[in-house]
Amino acid sequence: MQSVLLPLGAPLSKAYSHNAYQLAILACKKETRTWVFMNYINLVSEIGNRNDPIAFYLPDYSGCNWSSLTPWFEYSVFTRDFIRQCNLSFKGLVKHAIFNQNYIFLYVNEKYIPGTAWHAKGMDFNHNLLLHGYDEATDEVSFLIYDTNRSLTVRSIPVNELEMAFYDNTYSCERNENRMYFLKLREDSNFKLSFDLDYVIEQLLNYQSGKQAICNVMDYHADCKYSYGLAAYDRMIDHLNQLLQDPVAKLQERVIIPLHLLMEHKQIMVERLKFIAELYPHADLAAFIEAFENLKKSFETLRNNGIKLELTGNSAILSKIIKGMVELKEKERNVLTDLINYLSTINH
Amino acid sequence: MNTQINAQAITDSVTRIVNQHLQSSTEIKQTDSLKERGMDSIVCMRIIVELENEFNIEIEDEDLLIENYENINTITELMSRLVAKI
Repeated sequence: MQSVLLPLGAPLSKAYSHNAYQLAILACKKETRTWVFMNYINLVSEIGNRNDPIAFYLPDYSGCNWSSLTPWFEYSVFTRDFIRQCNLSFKGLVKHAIFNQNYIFLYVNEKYIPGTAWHAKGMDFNHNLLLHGYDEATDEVSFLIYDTNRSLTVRSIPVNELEMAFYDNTYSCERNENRMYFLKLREDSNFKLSFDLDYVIEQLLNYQSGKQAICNVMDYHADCKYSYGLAAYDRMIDHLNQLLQDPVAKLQERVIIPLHLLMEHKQIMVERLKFIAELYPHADLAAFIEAFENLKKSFETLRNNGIKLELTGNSAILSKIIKGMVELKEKERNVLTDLINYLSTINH
Repeated sequence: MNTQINAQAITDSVTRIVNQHLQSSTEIKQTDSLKERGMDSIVCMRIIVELENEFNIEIEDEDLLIENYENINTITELMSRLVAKI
């Protein structure tokens, strides 16, 4: 009887599960830091998307604004339809994939996952999970999931319950969600991703000026517009102003999680600058690190105000958050100007 | 009402509210780390909202960070400072 629990580290971002799962795997291998710090820079906001108003911009090959993949993953993808048509054993796939060091990213119906709010309510809810363990003695599968307090936790359930959650699930975006990703951290010792400071500077410039880093055909779709970088703050501010008219519902998705993401974005910048300081010992980044630590604290305060708003329903708090966002955007723009100028001098 | 009684009343209220929200099986002592007792940002904000109601105060933004709520003593000191301003 075999039992495997693949390692997971502390992710640098937990706001959205697809980032958290990817970063939890990458955190297990120090060499992946170059990729993480060369990315997770730009932000994107889809105009009119009130439920997820801001996200990290990590586009895939096809125009989607996010991806669970990185160059550090060797991966295979099966669709649910393919698994069903080929009559493949769900249990066999999961077990052998994990025994062969593959993490599995897939979408399930949380109604079947004990311990979730949706299980308690008996309501259908489509969400993603990261499977990382299998115990052959109990036929239980372990996975990373958010609990009812939105903390990331590891849970285990019988694989047949997970199978029901996988098959009895209606997708909201079939193209992405009808897929089971098998993700394996590269073990090839010859695979290296060097840190490229010029690339980081270019991305910081894109972020500051609100440009997309990669041409994305979706941007030209008439019904679907995006804003990038600091311009995404303006969309977020518009979105919060709209909430002033309709402040009742979904404050967690619409206010708290986006502000939490912005807080994590600044924390990642702090970690990035510390990493650059290690690579360039002659560079003095202390003042920039302090500036981004202060920005992180300011966004943490706004996030906490968001939680207070949810608890009290006091719309004056929302006005305060909007004012704070406007001020922090300008403060960050100024820090970025100085930082980009300074990084350009240390690299040449 | 003298200052001593006020200080004790603040300590008692803070202790009661913190214990109520952290729902620990054992009573939380004045210097116990609240983070180690399971306090996250959501619980911290619940405590803050209740403290604001209890003492009829508004906690300013600079005091909204979870690092200011390390243990019952630090919260009591903060509340004493804010109540004294009323």
